[in-house]
Amino acid sequence: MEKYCAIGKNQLRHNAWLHILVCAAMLLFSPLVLGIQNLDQVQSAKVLETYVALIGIILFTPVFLPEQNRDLRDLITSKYTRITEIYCIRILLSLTAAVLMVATYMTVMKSGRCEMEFGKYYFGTMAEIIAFGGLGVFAYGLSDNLIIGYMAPLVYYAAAIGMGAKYLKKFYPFGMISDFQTKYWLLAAGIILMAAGVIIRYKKS
Amino acid sequence: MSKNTEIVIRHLDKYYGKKQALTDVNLTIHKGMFGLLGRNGAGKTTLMKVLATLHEKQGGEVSICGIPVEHASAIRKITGYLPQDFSMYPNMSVYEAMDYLGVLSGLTKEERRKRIPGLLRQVNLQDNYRTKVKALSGGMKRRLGIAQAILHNPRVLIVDEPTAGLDPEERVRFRNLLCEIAQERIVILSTHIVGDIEATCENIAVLDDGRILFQGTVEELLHMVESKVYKAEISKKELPELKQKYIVTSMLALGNNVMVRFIAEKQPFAGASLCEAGVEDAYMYLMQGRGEGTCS
Amino acid sequence: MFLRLFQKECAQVGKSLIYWLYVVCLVVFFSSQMGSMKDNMLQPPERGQDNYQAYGFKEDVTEQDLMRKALGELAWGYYYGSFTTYPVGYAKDVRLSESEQEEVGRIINETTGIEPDKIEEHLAAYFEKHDVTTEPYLIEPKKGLTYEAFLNEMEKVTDMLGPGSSFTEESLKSETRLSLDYEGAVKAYENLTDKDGYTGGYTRLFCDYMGIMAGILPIFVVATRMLRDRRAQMQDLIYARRASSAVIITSRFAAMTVMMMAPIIILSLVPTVDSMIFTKGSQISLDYLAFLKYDFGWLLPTVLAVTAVGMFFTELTDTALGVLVQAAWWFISLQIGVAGIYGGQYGWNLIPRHNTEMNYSGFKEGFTQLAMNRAFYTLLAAALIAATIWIYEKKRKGHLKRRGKILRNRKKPTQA
Repeated sequence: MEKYCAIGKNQLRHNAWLHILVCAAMLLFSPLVLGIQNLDQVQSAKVLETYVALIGIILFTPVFLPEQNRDLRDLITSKYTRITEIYCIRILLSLTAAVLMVATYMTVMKSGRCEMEFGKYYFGTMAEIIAFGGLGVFAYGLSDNLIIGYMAPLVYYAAAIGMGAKYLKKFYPFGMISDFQTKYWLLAAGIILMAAGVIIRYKKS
Repeated sequence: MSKNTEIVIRHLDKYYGKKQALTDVNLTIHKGMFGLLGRNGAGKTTLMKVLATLHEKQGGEVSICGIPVEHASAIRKITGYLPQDFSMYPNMSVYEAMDYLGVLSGLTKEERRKRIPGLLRQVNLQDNYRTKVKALSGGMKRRLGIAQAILHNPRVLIVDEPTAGLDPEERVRFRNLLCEIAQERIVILSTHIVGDIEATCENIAVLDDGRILFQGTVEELLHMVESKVYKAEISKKELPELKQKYIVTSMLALGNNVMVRFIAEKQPFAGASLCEAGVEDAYMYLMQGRGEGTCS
Repeated sequence: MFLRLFQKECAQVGKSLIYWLYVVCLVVFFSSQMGSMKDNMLQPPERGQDNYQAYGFKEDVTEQDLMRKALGELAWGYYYGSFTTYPVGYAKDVRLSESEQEEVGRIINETTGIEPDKIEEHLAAYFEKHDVTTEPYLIEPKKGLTYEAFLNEMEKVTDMLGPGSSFTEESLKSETRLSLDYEGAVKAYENLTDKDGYTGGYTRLFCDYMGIMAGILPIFVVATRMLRDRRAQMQDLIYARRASSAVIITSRFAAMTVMMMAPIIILSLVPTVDSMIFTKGSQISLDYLAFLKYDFGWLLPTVLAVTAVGMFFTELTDTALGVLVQAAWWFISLQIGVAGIYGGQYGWNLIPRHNTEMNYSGFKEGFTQLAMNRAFYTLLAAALIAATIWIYEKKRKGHLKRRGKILRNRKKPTQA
């Protein structure tokens, strides 16, 4: 256990802090440009789905970045602790950060008299975050290129805005109001993609 | 080639922030192989990067073949540089990588087509035109590095720690290659491996903590320890005392005894016999003379 | 040297995986949005159609219409004590301070003649006659109120509400849309066939869709290319060569722009060819080169700007920061653009919107603004490239390096 704590602490201190900081800033400064008070159900869903969920891309995608250097990756892989365990701890850390940030943000919205079913919206937003993150992790793992890792979820996001539910069907990321079932699909896809990304990376190293 | 094949460095100073990396460096380097020796962090790479226009100096004057180093573009035309850590785009083939760098050196298509095959032959990569850079071994990559550095036929070749990480055979082959190249130009070679210098360079400079500690020929360096290198077989118990008194340059365990090679100003004790000095002995003598650690 | 390097750079981009991902994304997006266009091209309007929505909206909205709608909205917000603004496409609830609220009351009185405490009565009376669920709240402006004086007062309201207020002239115009009748539809269709050369309208629609992609996708190709030198440990080898920083950076910039524009230009032929097939045998004289005008005039500046942003931030930080910056900019542009999606209101948006093959008159009206907008982004790209050259030159001489040996040694050892 102590080992895992040390890995997590190290990740937080050397890598994750920057990504968490960017996300926190994104959420903190959001009231400057978008309202988080007195929104109706649709508006609240829009803020959560199309804005807050973007933190998934920033938080999860760079999971393999610390070992981008090939030699360093070999060095870490040669250690007793399996590299997949390290990846999993990083993912858990990102997940914890997302869980806390979204909860805080939604509490602020709720106290600003925004209409929403807290539990439902929370689940929906987290499912989308995991889907975005999963797609990023998968693309990064597959291509060994962080930029492609960012590209995949961003293109998915752009496709959702541009093409809508007609093309994406059950994988339409903004279905909080129109079709909540999509959220279960997103969550499942996100988890599978994330696991696949880690496994692919492990097999490659 | 113009007659002036000479590098002149006068009172060179270089800082990284507040840390002074080079202090009042004075050197004159002529045609042929020139070795720059010093421990890790002595300032060798910094000096080489100043010569290759990759670092700006803060004080003093440096000119290469009569051109002040401030004229980066003119300098780059006549210098070739092989950094310590380098690679090339992994997905390019050996030929493509050379061709790309050739374009950056301003060579025309005709010139590239003429020169690249010859150079690859010279560095023994003629069978690897289409090999991807990522598939090359360490030694092959180094050789490709040399080929790219002399692609535009520079008058000065600057090579930073070229033999690090090479196996003994590759290292010998690489040194010979450099000697061949040095017949018509200046080759500056930096290393912390004394053997490299001993085998290839006539003129050397020793750099320590950003200052020139020694400059001259290998003979002059050897002269410093002439009649000062001894060897003796002593018991292991005596070793600590001997180490304290003298500069030990090598030792070999023989059962309970040790055969030591060390430097002493005069005959230290009866059993010690004088032997022929090597560059390594001289280097150790020089470095210890400053009262600091040993060379790696 | 520039040309030779340019060729090499083009080849490098062409061989990279990410470039082909870029092309695939463009093609997929294009076919999802415009793939079935040839089956949906616009026929001339016929008398007695159910509606003429496909032909756009009325252009001649009167100033009176505009004032009525704005004043109604103002009074509504005043009465309920809250206004909705859309700074970046998201609804934002703005509540005014007591003194500002008083000021709005004064403005309402000034422009409508209604006392602030009589608004409730007016509102109730209005919705006794009109259906509150379908009809907007309209108030007649005070007699003698000039349009200029009205705009003047609305500007004060906008100052209080902040960005995204619906009381700016552009916003009022875009929100006050009235349906076309048959005559209007005929006129709009004639604009498309006569003034726009038919292809013009469709190419503009193409630019609208492709602008969305051009505002984000190039950044991935650019960031990957710019990071490749460091990743391949090739920086020093390139730094030490004769080629000047300006030649290295501009050849890369030119190569990436050309490679990025190539699939866009090819795709833009599709609407042109579709138009040719569709109008075969008719009297319409097509503008065959519209696609080139639009590709270069409309989309190229976006590609230039995004490429320059990517090069600048990647060179400056040696990280993927450029992706984050561009993603944020793209996101904001897209959200802001929604308000002017019908075209004609291009503002300074990186991604000007014009989501219809119609509205030629809006295009014409907004043309100067669009031209300035596009010129601005071209200049911005040039400035960023100049800055990138400067940074590259500095790094080449050993400055601005974050990962030099010295700093690396100073850093604490990292354990995984």
